Amino acid sequence: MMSESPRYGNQASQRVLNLLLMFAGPESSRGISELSRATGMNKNLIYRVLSTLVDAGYVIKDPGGDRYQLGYRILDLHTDEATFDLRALCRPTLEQLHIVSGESVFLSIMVGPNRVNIDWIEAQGRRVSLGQRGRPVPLHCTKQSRYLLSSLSDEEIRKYIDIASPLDRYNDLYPDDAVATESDLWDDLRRLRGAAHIVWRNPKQFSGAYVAFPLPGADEHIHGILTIGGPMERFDPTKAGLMEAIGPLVEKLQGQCRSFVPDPVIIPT
Amino acid sequence: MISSAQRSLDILETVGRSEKPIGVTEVARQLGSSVGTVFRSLDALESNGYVARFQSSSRYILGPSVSRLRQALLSKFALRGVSLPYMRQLAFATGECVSLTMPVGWYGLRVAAAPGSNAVTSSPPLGDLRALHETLPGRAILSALSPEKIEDYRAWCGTVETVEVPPVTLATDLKEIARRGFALEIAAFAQSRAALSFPIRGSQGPLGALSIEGPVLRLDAQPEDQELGNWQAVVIALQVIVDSRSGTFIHPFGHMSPGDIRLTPG
Repeated sequence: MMSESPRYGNQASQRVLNLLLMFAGPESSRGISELSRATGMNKNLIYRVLSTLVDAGYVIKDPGGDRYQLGYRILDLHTDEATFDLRALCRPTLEQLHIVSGESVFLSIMVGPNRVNIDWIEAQGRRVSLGQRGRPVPLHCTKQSRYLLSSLSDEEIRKYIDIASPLDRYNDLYPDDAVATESDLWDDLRRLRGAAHIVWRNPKQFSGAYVAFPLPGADEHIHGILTIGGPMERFDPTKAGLMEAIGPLVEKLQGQCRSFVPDPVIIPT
Repeated sequence: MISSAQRSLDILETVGRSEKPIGVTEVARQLGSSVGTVFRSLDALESNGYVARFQSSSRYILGPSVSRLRQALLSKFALRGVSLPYMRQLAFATGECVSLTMPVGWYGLRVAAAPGSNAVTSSPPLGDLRALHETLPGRAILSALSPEKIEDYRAWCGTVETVEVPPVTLATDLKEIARRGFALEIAAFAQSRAALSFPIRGSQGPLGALSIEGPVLRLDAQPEDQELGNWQAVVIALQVIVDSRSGTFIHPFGHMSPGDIRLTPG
């Protein structure tokens, strides 16, 4: 075999490394045509690159023999995986977002049928946004909770509605943007589902505004959400420059979260 | 002459094998390549997130892309998702860390863990990989195999340099585990207590093992004073779920011959 020129060699390495990453998603296996469409490489090239990965054991043929799946050799790359601690991972970003925005920041996760804030930094002053401080908030109450709920599958949401009904029973506790019927709830969930972030201002009274971001895992299921909130007269999530300042910090954290697979959601029945 | 792609994978493995952050010169020395060639490959690996600079130094560690791939692989073990609620129950009941180990070839791979609530608890790393007879959960898995498969395993151990030779008592030990229904391991620091591991069975053989990693079983106590029955009830509840969904828990490498899977335990 001829020695490769550095430039060509680098391209070949890049192709192999890029193609291997195509197997980091939730799909159980991938076919050559599908990989060709996803990468823009022609099928012959995909086949050759896959051969390199198959020879090394990083990719193997699936039980059917005509598709490919992630191989066992990945296990030879020993990383120091601890049990995933979302709070520890997010804490530095919470601190940075608090400094950049000057407002309160919260990290919430789903705990059974509720949203619970598991970490927060509250702004100082006479009018600040206060977190629920560990208080469980039903998943259909408040826009933030519904943002988390919207990340579940339809089947999981139906299970949740079964145990949470009647849906208006907490409306006195959470009157802002309350939903009364299942149909209202589904309408809102469809609006929220898949949104890169949500911005919310309370239309009923002069109070809070917030922007919330999802924290997706390696399989794109949501670990939790990160919220920045403050009094409406001071905090405007649509203010020029704000998203430019906080966006890169959030994106970096989202990239780190994608290194982990979230625990399965367990809705009590 | 190896291809540049193969070289990049070799370099990735060299960084992965290193017990501490490793520099370009050391990688080049280990692989017998020039520093310039290794540097170009490391550059490609770094730009794709496979390696990262250790604390902004000139030394490298594995990067986030490797974690993503490993996590993606761990998520392919469907038993993991079903077991987690039961693992949490056991962790809550015992205060100790509870883990799920699954066979990959003739190795045991720790794919999930539920942390214990005790002030001091074991915290074994996910992705930990050992030949089956070398660990408690591995022995629980082996105990659910037929004598012929155990002989296959013993023969395989003799062909792999990185694996310890199994003790001559292995077959007898495994029979005792099968009779008892779980494997136990006496803690080095508490001779009267043992950690436990229960095999989880599928229709084609053992799917994995659920282990209470801390020394919870009191060997000097009467059976009626033990909580063993409560823990076994949790494992049986999981086994019932597994039995009712036979065919759901397809092992990602179940179509391969176990002996064909060669790995380097960390």
